[in-house]
Amino acid sequence: MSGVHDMGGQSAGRLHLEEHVPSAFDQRVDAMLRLLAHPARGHFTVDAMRRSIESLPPAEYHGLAYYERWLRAVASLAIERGLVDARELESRVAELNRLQAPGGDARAATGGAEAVRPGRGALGAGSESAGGDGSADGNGRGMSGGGQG
Amino acid sequence: MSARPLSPGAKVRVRTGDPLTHCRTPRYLRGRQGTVVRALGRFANPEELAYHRPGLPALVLYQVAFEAREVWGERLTEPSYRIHADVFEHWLEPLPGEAEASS
Amino acid sequence: MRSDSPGGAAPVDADEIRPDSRRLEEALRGLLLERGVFTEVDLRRQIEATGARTPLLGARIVARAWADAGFRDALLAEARPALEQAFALDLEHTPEITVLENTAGVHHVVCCTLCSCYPRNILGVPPLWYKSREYRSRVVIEPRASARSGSSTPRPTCATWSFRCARRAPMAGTKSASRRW
Repeated sequence: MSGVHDMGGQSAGRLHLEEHVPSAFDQRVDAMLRLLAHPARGHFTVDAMRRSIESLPPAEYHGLAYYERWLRAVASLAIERGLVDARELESRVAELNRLQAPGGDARAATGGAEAVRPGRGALGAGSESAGGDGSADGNGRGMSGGGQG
Repeated sequence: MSARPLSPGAKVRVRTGDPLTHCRTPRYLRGRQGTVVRALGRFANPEELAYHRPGLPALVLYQVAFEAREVWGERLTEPSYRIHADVFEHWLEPLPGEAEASS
Repeated sequence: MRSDSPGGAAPVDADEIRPDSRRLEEALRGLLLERGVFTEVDLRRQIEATGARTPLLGARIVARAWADAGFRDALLAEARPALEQAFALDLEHTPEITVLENTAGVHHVVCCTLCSCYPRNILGVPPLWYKSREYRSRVVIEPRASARSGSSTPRPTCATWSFRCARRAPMAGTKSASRRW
């Protein structure tokens, strides 16, 4: 864990207090989070979600929008808990790449696959690959996480 | 595992340490001295829940008040204020000489 | 992350969401639906339920506390039963709620420096600024400067500022921080 999430007291820029209307993407990701973490459904706890999101590489944690990083955290956790199969998720994403990037843009396809590849640590709870090397590719990371509350 | 309860007003210090695993005690409070406001109840340990373990026995969560000057030292650029944080019992140690709750 | 859709209109997908994020969301949702982890109806109901919680409820709660001293006392003593009773809310799966009262001498600011803990079941989704790196980093070390940041109206000077790290879900009521609602 890099501790990138533990921000209290760090230097940062100016606050922007403008209103933000949640997008459809925001709403769908938020709904998925709540359904999966609901105590009555018992898939995973909010604590596990937090742990997953805290495991994102710093570049992803800071570079992605709020719901983009929650999405990645929950995807990893869903794999970890056996709700979805990693290869199946990868191939589903690859299929969408083919369908949605006409002309076979290799960069788009690669970007999609990198975003979802669970990495070596994917299948063991708490067994994230060590060290924050700050790499931006997201591989070997993206374990479950995400704490809302 | 549970330590003796801490009373409101007890002076405590947040433990130091930098665990590799999920932790809910922010780094800016580690090693800082504060005052217990009240006990908030017992909760399963989030450090264990994060790894799909039950986190039992439940641990006491305390509301602790810190003086901003104590937390930030010379980094503080404004008049001091109080920071209230919820800290689990296993992250707190009573300062030497502090009386503990009798029950 | 911005959206141009006006309040009340159907939400549009923000331009700033990366294509690979969109594909991941579609793929993950599709698989979870196929596996029966949840249904389309579940998703729709969850989105509606989330949308039904807005800062307006917070404003109503504060207004009642101003007008009804008994409710105010109950709210400050033990928020959850007071809210459940007065507003017919189902807060069974809500973390502990604490309500803090601002006075002439004490102003509270709430922040989750570690993630984005927030009383979602009362106030809905937190504002983007509450979840931002800037807020989570700065407000706990320079609260007054943070409060003034981005605002054209100077904040009142307060003798004491008190912050809660939201392990549970505290809610601050204030007459002056109207934009929080």
